Amino acid sequence: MNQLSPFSALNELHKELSRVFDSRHGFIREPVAYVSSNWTPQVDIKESDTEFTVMADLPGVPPEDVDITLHNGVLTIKGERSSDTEKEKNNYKRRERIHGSFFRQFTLPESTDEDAIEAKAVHGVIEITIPKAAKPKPLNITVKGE
Amino acid sequence: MSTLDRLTNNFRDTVDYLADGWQELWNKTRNAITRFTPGHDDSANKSLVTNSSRWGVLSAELCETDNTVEVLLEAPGMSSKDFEVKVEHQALYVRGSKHYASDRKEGHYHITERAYGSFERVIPLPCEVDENEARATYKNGVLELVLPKHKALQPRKIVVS
Repeated sequence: MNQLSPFSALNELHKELSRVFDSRHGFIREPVAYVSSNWTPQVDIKESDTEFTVMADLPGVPPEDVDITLHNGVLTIKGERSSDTEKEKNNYKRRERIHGSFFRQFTLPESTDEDAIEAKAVHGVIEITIPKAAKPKPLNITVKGE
Repeated sequence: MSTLDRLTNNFRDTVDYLADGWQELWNKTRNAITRFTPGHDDSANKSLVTNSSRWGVLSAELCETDNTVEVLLEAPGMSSKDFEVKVEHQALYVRGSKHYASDRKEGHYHITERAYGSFERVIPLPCEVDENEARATYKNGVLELVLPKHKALQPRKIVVS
């Protein structure tokens, strides 16, 4: 176990809080009022020269229950984590898992090739790849002299 | 009632509502918040190492049946060989390490909320279990453990002849 000094713990807390409230990245769309959700998956978003990659932690959600849409540059990940209804258990000694619906939206900054979006699920992580649209070639305009 | 009174009341209701929600969330997850210690993985993306969250939420569920103790632990993005599970002093120790994927193409991260590195979660068990008979499966990012209770603790069926 790591022994933490109070100051380093405070620093950590500060770092985490600024992460939570950091609005510098324009990716995260604030939850819209009419959508209610029980929990929010954690994500990593990466950009390379050719594509965006979104990785979302969705433990316990079967891939077929994840609904991904990309429309006008807005990526929506939603779905539901259903509780284990087949074994209706009442004898829980510990229940930390949150079941129910999840919802997250992101705005992708550059025009993307919306038709080429791909998603795969590996061990509870959904990886979404969105290729960037081919940029129009810059036009060279020659200014004609008189 | 004046507008100001209404506003004050609404504000108070909102605060109460938030406080209740926060309390509920806290009660559910405070034990699940787990520290991640980053590993020294040279091939990893440096910005990911420095910026990724040091805390992950590994939510667990523990359920007792007549003969077994069943534990579910949410740990997405691992592979089954990265887990080390052990029972000691009537507690379940789950250790693991989540690696930075090294085969990633170059690029930079805009958002890093997921935690990487090694972690340990200790879950107290309600009774003695037979560690050698334990079964573990890892599916959709959830580790499921079925731990049979000690023979002496299992209810004995007496057949009436």
